[in-house]
Order: sequence, then structure tokens, then C-alpha cells
Amino acid sequence: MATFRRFRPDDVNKFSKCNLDPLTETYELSFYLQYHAKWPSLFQVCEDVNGNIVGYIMGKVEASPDAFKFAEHYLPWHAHITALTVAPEARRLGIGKILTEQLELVADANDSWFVDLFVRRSNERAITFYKNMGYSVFRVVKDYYGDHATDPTQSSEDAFDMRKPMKRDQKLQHIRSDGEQHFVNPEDVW
Amino acid sequence: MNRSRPRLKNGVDLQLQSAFSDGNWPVVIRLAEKRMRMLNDQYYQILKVVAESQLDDPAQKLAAVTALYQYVKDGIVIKDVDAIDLLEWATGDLTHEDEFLETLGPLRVRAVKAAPKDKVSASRALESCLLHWDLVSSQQTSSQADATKKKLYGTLALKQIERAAQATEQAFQADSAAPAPARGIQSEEEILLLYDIMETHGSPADLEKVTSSPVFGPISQFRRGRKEPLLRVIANSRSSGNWISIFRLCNDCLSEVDESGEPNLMASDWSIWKEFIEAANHIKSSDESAPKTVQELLLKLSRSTKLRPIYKRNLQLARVSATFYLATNSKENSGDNAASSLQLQELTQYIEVHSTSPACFDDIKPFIELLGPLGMKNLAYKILPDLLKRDEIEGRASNAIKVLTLKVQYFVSTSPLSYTTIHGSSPNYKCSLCESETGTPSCLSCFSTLSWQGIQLYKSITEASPDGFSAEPDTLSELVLLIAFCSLQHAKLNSKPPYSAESTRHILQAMLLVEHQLAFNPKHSQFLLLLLQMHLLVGSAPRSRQLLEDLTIKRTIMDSLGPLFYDRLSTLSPNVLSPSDNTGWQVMDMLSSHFNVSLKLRMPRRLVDAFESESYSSVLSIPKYINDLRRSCTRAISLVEENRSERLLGCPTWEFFSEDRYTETTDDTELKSVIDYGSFPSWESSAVPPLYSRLRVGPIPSNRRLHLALLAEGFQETLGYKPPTAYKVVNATLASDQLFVLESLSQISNSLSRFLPGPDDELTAPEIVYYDLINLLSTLIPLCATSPRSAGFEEVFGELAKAAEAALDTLRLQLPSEDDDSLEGTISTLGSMHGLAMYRDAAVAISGTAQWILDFNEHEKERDRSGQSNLPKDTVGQVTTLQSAAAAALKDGQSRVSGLKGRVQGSFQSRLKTWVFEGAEDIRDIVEDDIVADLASHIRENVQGWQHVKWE
Repeated sequence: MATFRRFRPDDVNKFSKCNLDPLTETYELSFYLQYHAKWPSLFQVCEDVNGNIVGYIMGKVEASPDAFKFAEHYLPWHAHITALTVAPEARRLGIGKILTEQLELVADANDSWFVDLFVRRSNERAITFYKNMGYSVFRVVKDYYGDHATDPTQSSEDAFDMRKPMKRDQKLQHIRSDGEQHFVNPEDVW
Repeated sequence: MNRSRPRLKNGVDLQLQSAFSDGNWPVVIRLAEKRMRMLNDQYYQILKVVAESQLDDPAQKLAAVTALYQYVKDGIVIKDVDAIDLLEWATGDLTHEDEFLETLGPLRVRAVKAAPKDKVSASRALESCLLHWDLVSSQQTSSQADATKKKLYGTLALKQIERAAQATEQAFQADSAAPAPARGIQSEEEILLLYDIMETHGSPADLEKVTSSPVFGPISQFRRGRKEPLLRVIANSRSSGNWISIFRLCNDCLSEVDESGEPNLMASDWSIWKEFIEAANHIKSSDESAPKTVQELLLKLSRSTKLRPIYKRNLQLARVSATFYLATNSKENSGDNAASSLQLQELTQYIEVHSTSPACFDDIKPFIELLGPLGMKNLAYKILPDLLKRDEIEGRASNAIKVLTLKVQYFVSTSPLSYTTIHGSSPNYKCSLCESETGTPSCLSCFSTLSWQGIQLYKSITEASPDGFSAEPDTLSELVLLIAFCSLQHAKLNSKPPYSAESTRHILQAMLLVEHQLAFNPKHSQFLLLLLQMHLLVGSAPRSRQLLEDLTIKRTIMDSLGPLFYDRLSTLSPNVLSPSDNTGWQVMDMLSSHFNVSLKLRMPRRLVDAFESESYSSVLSIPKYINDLRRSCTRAISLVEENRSERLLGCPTWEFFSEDRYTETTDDTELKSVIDYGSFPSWESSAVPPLYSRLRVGPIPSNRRLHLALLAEGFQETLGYKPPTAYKVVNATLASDQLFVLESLSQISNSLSRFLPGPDDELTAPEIVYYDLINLLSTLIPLCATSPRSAGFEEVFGELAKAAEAALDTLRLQLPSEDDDSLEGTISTLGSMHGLAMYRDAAVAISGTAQWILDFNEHEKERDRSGQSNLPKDTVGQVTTLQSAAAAALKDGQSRVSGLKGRVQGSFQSRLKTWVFEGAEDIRDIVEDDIVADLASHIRENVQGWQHVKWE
């Protein structure tokens, strides 16, 4: 039993089902409030019958600063998925898909070129999930993460920068079919 | 507060800029003075003062503060916003947050009024006032504004938004496809603001006008992909009991279709279905077609081809719910061999589809209770077991259904509906599931059977698995919880620890079994949470600290999950919070740093982000949340536990009274308790308290208890303070110290009188006695120091002294016997450390009070040679008796702690293992020896930690 709605600050008091999962990071309060303050319609939650949050998505719409307009890695106006999490007990019910679709609707309403996100290269489940939702790898960010999720002997891990074009990008200018062959450094990513 | 050094304004020469950024204050002063004379610019005068206040000279340190107050007093207008920023930076550390309202706030308002067209200045002023939560200066409506202004601002807001709404509606009427005018209402945030203003300042008719508008109404907004207005209007209609409106709204939104004619599922949330069904239930007597409308819509949506699993589940459960609340049922839910009522049939159908889903049990729980005793029994003992007879069920699915069946049987056993009262005889309950007679509505025979079945299934799965454990981890985890819960039912937890050794034996059985399974599933949050609680309860808190780390409870979730571990921790295991060792300090810092970081400013900078982003709903919700966080019980717990552990371990910092966590909590502050129990397994009937709530050391944090705890710490801090030995106390200081003590205790006594009356179930038994005692002692001292003494002084004092002694006796009697050195005695003592800590603190409070009165008497003797101010001899005798009683209690406590050390050494571990598993050999066969060894080690660590407690 689930209900989808906007995030409210006191939802953080019902985050345990999601945030006690080791795969979900807990941030400082200001991080959540920043998204609630700036992009309230892109911060959506899914609550269960008892009001526990069993999934949430945090996103934003932005572009690289104008000063970088002609730089190689300039990002035009787009939406970004900062975090998407679903509690273990609520997985495989399509909650992640619904949350992502809702964010995409808002991205379109905000005239975004695309929606993007970063995902660990080793996180095959997430990559498959996003690929099934129409996302593709745009580039590989070398050593983006300071640790490795599955291999403790590694000190870093690459990220896939995945994108899905939105309605504005009718000519599919902002996606690539061979994104996995394009490598950038973390400092190139804004 | 953001104390980073500001940049000087544009136009300031490079020499001065670099001196300022280097912190070369003498040069800044000299250059600023020079520029001031040359340019006659107020900015440089302020810069000079600001630089002076950065010097080490104590006299000049306050130059900026003095100047600030002078500017305010003289009505000076500082037009330069950069100069005000400089002043704010220089005075930030030297003034209290509240002073902003009287100083910088008004200065900023003056600056804005002097240059009303300077938007930069105005927005910076607004930002600063908001961050300091100076709403008067921000000219916002708030509790800070008086009633007249509040009304004025409310009316202004209403008029402004009405005008904007009107412009939008007019534009819509002229051309419905045209965009809203620039000053009209367009975004979802603006719509929500419109609703907010209408709800707060408008009449019901105003709100009705908006919600029924073709432009702003929730249906038209919903069609634009905006769900929030719909939720707002439903909530508002619910509060006014307008069920017809809720029914219509839900029906309209749930019936919406997309371009391809398929149902738009955006409204197909459980909460909306629940509202829809409840509304139909309310109106069905006046609108007979309402139930049919619900059923038809459910059927229509179920046929949709693009249903995601979660929507399918919502719809199926809505169907079950509609059957329970809207269908008329002529039969009783009692079928002998099959589901016989509509409700039971519908529920069975749901279970058949979802029986292997981990969420199935939680989904069906609320409905099982509505079936009545016979229906529940039929479901648990007939229908569910019959599911296994279906041909297609095998392997994992079969085990999942078996577990679901056991869980439902456990659930039914916890329901009072499963018991009938036998009048006039004892035992006086009869279990309708197994026909046993019991003394309480809780059938231990049923729980034993369930536990046995659980163990058999557990063994069969592990034995069939190649390595014994990797197969079906979820099923095994559920079975372990079932067996553990059955053990806990045998413990007969009544939420009032300490529990008897026999009860603790069952808790330990449950705990060791869960510990065993945790090794195979180390991040299982339900295991971790339950274990964290159980270890606190049985006296092995150092293990709870490890579990806290494994749970990664940190930062934002600390407020709602921190109390599970920290509440009363200093009374259970003070050394876990020891400021003298790194781990203890870190454990404490994990809690307090969340509040330090999140409440650094009166309001977070994010509020300004919300203003800039025009997120009006966030502008309203962020301050509310921050104010709640500031008044959080967890924040108060962080101070109480920190201070109490420091005191118990003999390393007080004496900073209690200057702590914001204390100074910001007045008697009128309503402390808010928030605990997130969402991740705990809850398998019991809603008619009984869930097990996790019975595994607590005491009642949950409450406004009353935390006020009492803060006041008691204030009392201990007042009497416990000892000046540094190097500091020679002169008589004048002594007199002012006495005055401080008397005034502090009078305040504490006044506040205690306000919070002491209340229900006993908000406090543990030792806390009730302890807080009463503190109240009594805080009256005793001022009574002795009042001159002239009242006629009945000796009699009153005698009564109070006797009551204090009696309180100490009561606390001692609440502890287990010291002479019992059996294993049961040791187990009981380990579970009573909270009472021991209260006993210790009570003795320290009495001792401190007696010493203060005796010192005061000596001082009076020296001051007044006539002897008239002396305390009567009998009174002095009573004080000495009190002092001796306290000393004896402290000695007693110390002896208990040192005696305990010997009792947990040597053969303790093997005796513990034998004792715990007596009658629970099946569990013993599962649990490895290492688990018991670890438990013994954590108990020893806790007992060792208690050896550091000071008993003086």
C-alpha cells in the first residue's frame, strides 16, 4: 500500500526504512532542506500505510554556469537525479519507476533537455533499471567515487553518467550511443 | 553563525583590502581612520570600530558591540549595507542570538527604509533578518507580531493574492488557452500559497470559491499533473467533515483518463482510495449509490493494462477494504471449512495472490482483526494451511507461505479477541485457539507450539541448504523473529523493567538467537534494532553501541532514532559515554553534533533559498520543522545524558547552565518527542502494545520527563559545583555563591512543581522517586536559609528530612537484594542498573544538600555571633542524619558495583549458558558458543565501566 506525494521536512523522521539500508546514505539536514527549498516538486516520497517513507527521489534542474557556456563539458538546462532509494521491503513493485517518471514529468514541465544521473559502474541492477527506463550511458567519469562498492582492494570506482532525453531534445543532441567509450575526469563534471 | 570574514566593499583600496584579509588589525585601524577623514564615509568609521574589536585588548574587544548599541539608541541610520554586514560579523560571537531583534534587525530595517529602491540592500536585509528569525524586522506575519499587526499583514496578504487570482481568472475567461498574466497565479507553489492564505486569513466561503474555481480548483490542477492541491483540499475537507466533497473529489480524480483513454493512475494512491472508501461509508446512508460507484471504479481501473505492481496492489487492497467497509454481509465470518463471508473471501483472494510477498503480512493485518474471533481462527488455522495444498506451491514459495501462516497465527494469538473471559474462576481466560485456560489474555501454550513449529521449519531449511545457512535468508530471518517473539511472550514483558530473572532468561534466549542469525545477515536492520534494545535492557550496553554503528544511525535521522540508544543511557552504562575516552566522546558527539550543525543559525540558509526559488510552501514548512527540532526531546536527551555521564564519572565540565540546549528551554517550551519505530517488526494485534515498546528501559521521552531531567541536572550542577582548588574563596564570593544557589534552587523548585504532577506511566519507578526527592531538596535549602524562620520551621524541616530519607530507602528497596549472589541475582542486578544510577544520584543530591546546609550554618555562626541565625540543634542533627544516610547509600551502591565485578568473572559464562537455555534446548542447539561468550564479554565490559563511577 503506497502513496506518492511531495516531501515534507518532517518526513525525515520517518526515513528509517530507507536510510537504515546500507545502500542509502544519510546526509546532513541542510542537504535535504536544500532540495525541498529549491526544487520542491522534484523531491517526491512514497509512504506506506503507516506513514513510513519507503522510497524517495531527490532531483534538481540546473545548467552549468554561463561562464562555461563554450567549455567542452558544459551542461545545458537539464534535470538531475541526485538520489533515488526504495526500502528493501518495497522493492520490485515499480516504486522506483513511478518516482523517476514523476521527476521526468517535472523535468519536461521545466523544459529540460535531458535528465541525468551518476551511478556506480558496479551497480548493475541500477544500470539495468535505468536502461529499461530509457537512459543510456553518456560518458564514464573516471574514479568518481572515492571507494569501491564491491571490491575493498580498490580505492576508487568509475561512475556512469547516464542520460535520458526529454521532449525538448527532439533531435537527440544530448545523448550518445557509444557513451561507454567516452571518458572524463571528475573535475570535468560540474 | 557564519563567521567567515566578509569581504570589504567594492572601491576600498587594495592596501586596506589586503590588511583586512590578512587580519593586520592595527594597519586596518590606521588606514580606515585616514580614509574616514579623507572621504567622510561612515563605512570607514565602522570598519575602524570593527578592526578595533578584533584586537586582543579586552577593553577594545567590545568596541563593535558598544557602537552597535549606540547606533540603535541614537537612531542612527547606516545606509551602507556592507557596513552593517561588517558590524554583524564583528558582533556575532559577542552577542546572543536574541539581541539581533533589538540591534541589527532594526538597523537593517532603517537602512531599507532610507533607501527603499535599493533592492540589493533590501534583499540582504531580508535574508539576514530571516536567518536570525527576526520576523518583526522582516515584516512578516508571525507569533512575534502583535495581534493587530498580524491581522493587518493577514489582510494585506489576502488582498494581494485575491487580486492576483482575479487577474488570472479574468485572463482565463477571455482565453482559456492563454498563459496566466505576469502578476497572476501560475505555478503550483503559487496555487498552494493561494490555498494557504485563504485557509489562514480568508473565510470558508473564500476558500470554497478558490477550490471550486475552474482555474485553481484541485481537479483542474490535477489535470495539469499537480496532485498537491488535491491532497490539500482533501485534508481540509476531512477536518471540516465534508465527506460529500471528499467523495466527489476522489471519484473525479480517480476516474481521470489520459490521452489514450487509459486511466490516469496519478491519484491511485492508497491514501486517496482510503479517503474515497471512508467517504463512501459516511455518505452511503444518504447516497445509496456510493458503494456501487466505488466498486465500479475499482473494476474499471483493475482492467487497465498499464498497472505497475504497486498500483495493482493498491487497487486489490482497496477492493478488500471496500468489501470490509461498504459491503453488507449477512453471514458471520465463521465458516468451518472455507471462507464463508464476503470479507473473508476477498481477503483470502488477496492472500492467494500475494502470499509470497514480504509485505503481505503487513497488508492484511488490519483486516484480519476485523474478521472477528472465528473468522481469524478460520483464516489462521484453516485457510492459510490449505493454501499449501495447492499443486503449484512448492519449494521457496511453500516455505514463504508456511512463514506467513505462522506469523498470522502469532498475530491471532496476541489478539484479545482470541480469548474468552471465564467469570468467577481463576485462571480466568480461555484461549479460543487451543482451549487452554490462562491467567492473562496471552496463551503461552500457543506461543510454545508456534516456537516449536518455527524451529522445525528453520532446521529443515538449514539442513537442506548445502552450507547450512545461505538458502532463503529472508525466510530464515522471519523464522528467527517468530521464535524470538514467542520467547519474548514467555518473558511476560509489562513495560515496567527491571524484569525478574525468569523473564530475563526468555529475553536472553530471544537475544542470543537473533545474535546468531545476525552473523549471516549482518545488516538486517530489524535484528540490529531489536538487539540494540535488548542489550540495553539486560545490562550489556557496550554491545548496543556497536549495533548503533552497524545501523549507521547518524546525521539527519539521529533526531528520530537516537533516543532508542541514548535515552537513559548514562544510567545504564555511563562509561559508554565517557568523555575521557575517544570512543565515548565520539558516541556523544554523534548525537550532539547533529543539533549543533543543523541549528547553527536560528534559521538555516536554506530558508533564503526557498524565498529565492519562490517555493512558498517550503518557506512555511522549513521554519516549522526547525522550530520543532530546536524543541526536540532528543536534543534535551543529548544534554541530560552528556551531563549525567560526566557527573557519574567524576569529570563534570560545569558548562550546563551556559548550554543553549538548557538556556533555550524555558518552562513554556513544549518539548517534542519523535521516535521512528517504522523499521521495527510489529507482529502483534493493534489492541496490545507492540513488543518493541515493551523492550524499552522505560517510557518514551516526553515533554514532562525531559523537563524534569533537565531540572534535576540543574539541581545537581548547582550544588555539585566546586571552584578550582587554586582559587581562594573570599567571603564576598561565598555570599554571592549562596545567593546564586538559593535563587537557582527556588527557580528549579518552582519549575519542578509545574512538571511533577502527571501520570506515572511517563516515568520509570526510580525516576518518580528521584524527581520527587529533587523537588523536596530544592525546597529544603531555601527553607533553612530564610530569615527569620517561620514558627513551624523545625516541624516542617523534620518532615521533609524524613521524606528525603524515605525516598532513599524506597530507591534502595527497588534494587535486587545485594546478598543474592546466585546467577539469577546477578542477572537481576544487571537489569537494574538504571535504578542503581538513580539511587546514586539521589544519595549525591542528599549529601550535597546536607553539606550545603551545614556549611551555610557555619557561615551564619561566623556572621552572626549572637547565635540567633543558627539552625536549631535538632535540625542540625537531622541534617547530619541525612548526610550519614546518603553516605551509607553511596557506600552501599559502590559495594554493589564492586561486588558485581567478581560475579561476572570465572565460571560466569558457562553458568550463564546453562541457565539461559534451561528448557530451551532447541534454541541452544542453534546458537553457537561464541555468541554466549560475546554476551558475557559485553556484560563484563559494562560492569568494568561501572567501576569508574564516583560514589562520593
